[in-house]
Amino acid sequence: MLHAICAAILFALIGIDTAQAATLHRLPLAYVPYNINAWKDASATTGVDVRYDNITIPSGSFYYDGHRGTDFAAPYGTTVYASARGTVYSTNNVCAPNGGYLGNPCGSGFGRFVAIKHADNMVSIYAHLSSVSVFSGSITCISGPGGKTVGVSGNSGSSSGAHLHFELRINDLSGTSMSYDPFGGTASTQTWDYWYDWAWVSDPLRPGFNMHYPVTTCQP
Amino acid sequence: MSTHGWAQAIPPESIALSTYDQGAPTIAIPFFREGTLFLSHVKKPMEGATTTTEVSRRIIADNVYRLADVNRQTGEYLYQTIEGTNRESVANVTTWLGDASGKVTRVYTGGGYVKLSPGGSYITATDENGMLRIIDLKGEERAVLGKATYAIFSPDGTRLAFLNAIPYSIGDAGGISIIAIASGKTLMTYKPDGAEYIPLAFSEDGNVLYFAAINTAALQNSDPSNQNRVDLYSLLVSEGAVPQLVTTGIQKLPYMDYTRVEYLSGSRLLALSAEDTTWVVNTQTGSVQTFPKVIDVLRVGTGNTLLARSSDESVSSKIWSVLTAR
Repeated sequence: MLHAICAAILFALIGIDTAQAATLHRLPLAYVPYNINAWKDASATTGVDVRYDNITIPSGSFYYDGHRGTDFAAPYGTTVYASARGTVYSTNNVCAPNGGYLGNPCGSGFGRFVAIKHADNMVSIYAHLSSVSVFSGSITCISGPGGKTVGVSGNSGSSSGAHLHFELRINDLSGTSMSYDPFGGTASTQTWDYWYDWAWVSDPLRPGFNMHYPVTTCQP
Repeated sequence: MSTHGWAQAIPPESIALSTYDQGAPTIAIPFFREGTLFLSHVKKPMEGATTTTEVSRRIIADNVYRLADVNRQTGEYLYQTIEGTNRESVANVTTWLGDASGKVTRVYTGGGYVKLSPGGSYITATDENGMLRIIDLKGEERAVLGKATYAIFSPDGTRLAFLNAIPYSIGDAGGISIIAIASGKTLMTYKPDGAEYIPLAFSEDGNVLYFAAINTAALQNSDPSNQNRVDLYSLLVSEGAVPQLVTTGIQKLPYMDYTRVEYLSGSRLLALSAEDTTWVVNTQTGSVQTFPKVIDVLRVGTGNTLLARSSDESVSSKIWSVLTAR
């Protein structure tokens, strides 16, 4: 919550209404500190922030080039929740639910996916699902371990294993629309998170490091 | 007519007789299950037979990510291994070539959707940045075809079809292109309006391309219980040709993407496998036969006799059976 308050103060100082400036998001899963690949920040116990975005850390297994989202290592069949309120923008439910492989163009690589458009014109994308639960209409955000279900995680489209690809993209889903890093803070190029609230938790991929991880509270 | 980025000339391949036609009493068939690649030697079923026998089975490799392609002509196959925890990166994916004796060699690291040419001389692969390449078996690049994926060779190895696609981009795909491999000359490009589509296979003579498509309107506001919404089309390889609907009426398919696609030589049957089901489409009549618990088929003999692999783990000692398609 403190982080969201800081963001609000920052927006207020520069004259931007937080609610209109940015829709903030909850963890689109029940609260489990899953491995994250790409676009995350971590802090060693010394408190030094480390960024996994192919700038701070050279090529390795923690992130990859050209990737526009955050991959949560959610097992096959994990319920996926809406990260913020909005309206269903696009869906695809015709790829093989567990038929993912790298280079599979089904759903343009997203596989089975849901995209929700938010008040700030940002689109949240939930990709590589095994099934989609929402196809149209407005979507609420519910805080807590549950939430508003949008689908179930899987391994569809261009994917080598079960996970959830979560992405924030501006305006639409075309190749030219810019994707935004949801992780702000001192290791980021942006000063605020697109997560409504977050905490430092132990990083499953990097023993001794804590990772910046969202919680399940919705923006009011 | 444009040509693509050819680094070196790509000479025509000689296409071998299929392993079935070479007179051996058994057929070597690779298959993948739960991270392990196996090689089965299966007795050729007699014409009209309803059963067959698996003569031997051996493990070719463990920790395999995917059996990517099988060349029924040469008996060779491509499989891939992957390192690291990334689920969307091809940077750490290595492609290996195996033959019917079980010998394997490393071909290439860093490529996604890979296909082996009919003569077994080249592979196609899409790299980390979505660039489609033709690579020889020494790993040397022969051509770069731009942002594309899902390449498929014609059976005579002279043509290549692929999907011009920007990864993770919806609404601005560039259509299906078909090129002459030797020259890089574009033979045709087809882009349906308001549809998602994936090229699947060429006909035996290479003059017809089959592709799956769904009208994007059908993706929105759709009844999730109605899963079968994908149509199969045929497209003559000729600039300006209009696709013909193969799966007419209610005969639709559930998925766009298939783990195995086989145009069954000589039969005009197209077999599409996904999850634990195989659909066999008669490209002449448009009929679709569904074979539950069958995850791989190949045609044997001269009729519509199919050798099928069962997904049923409980009968693992008898995973091969014989089916007849219509």
